[in-house]
Amino acid sequence: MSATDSELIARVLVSNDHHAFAELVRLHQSAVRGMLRKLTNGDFATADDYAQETFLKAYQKMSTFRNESAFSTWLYRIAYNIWRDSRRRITEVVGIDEEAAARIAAPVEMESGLKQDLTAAMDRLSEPERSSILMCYQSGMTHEEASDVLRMPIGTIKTHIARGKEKLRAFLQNSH
Amino acid sequence: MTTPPNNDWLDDLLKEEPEYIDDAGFSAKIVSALPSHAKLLWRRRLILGIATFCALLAASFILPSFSELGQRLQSATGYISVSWSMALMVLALLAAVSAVSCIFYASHEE
Repeated sequence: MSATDSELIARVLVSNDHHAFAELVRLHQSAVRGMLRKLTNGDFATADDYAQETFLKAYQKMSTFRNESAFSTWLYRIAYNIWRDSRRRITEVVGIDEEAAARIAAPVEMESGLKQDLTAAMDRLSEPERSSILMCYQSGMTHEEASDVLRMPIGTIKTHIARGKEKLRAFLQNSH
Repeated sequence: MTTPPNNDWLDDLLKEEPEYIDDAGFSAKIVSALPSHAKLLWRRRLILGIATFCALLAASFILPSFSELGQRLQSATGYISVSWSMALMVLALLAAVSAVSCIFYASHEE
């Protein structure tokens, strides 16, 4: 954790300093929103709603933050749990994974050739495979960080990535 | 459709540099949604007030009255129970004093 993060966290905890918390949000908003945009496959509005929920939850639970991991990793974990719980709730209520269905029906961004195929292929992966690949390849996390966020052993993360990549490779080669 | 290149094409395809997302009022929106300081102080006061009330209530039930204490002090057999009672009384008083001082501190924090 950077010195700035620890100082700001201390100010929030000791004197409930809203300015310090605002600074923490400013420092981490891009990474958290970016990760959520990828998880929601480009649904910016939903991703920002989840990001807002993430920071509010982080504020409420700040006293439970331990220096065992980086503050950013802690935030990613909250964000990922919010996304996963919300997705689970929607699937339970509606009966289908609306998010995945929407992704297949209409990709949000116009992507060219291979990228578009990749987006389609990613939707065919299981949730842990897709999340592991997104965290490690597209959100720039290390295997250790992804393991911390997804609450899985590093070996399991590596296995999910390897299996996911196998499926992606097979799908992309078959489609060409 | 584009043909994937032969070398590490999947890794290259998957790897993306995370792009910076402009704040554009996001932080301000979060801060405005935070619970206010006064609200938190009131919640703290309420909790401490309830704790003080419970401590005093427990003390009034557990501890003997002063007249009873006097009677026990006069009898030699009541020595042990008196010492326990005194210890409990001191603990209850300490709890009450610390709770009251916390409330006082919290009210001046505002």
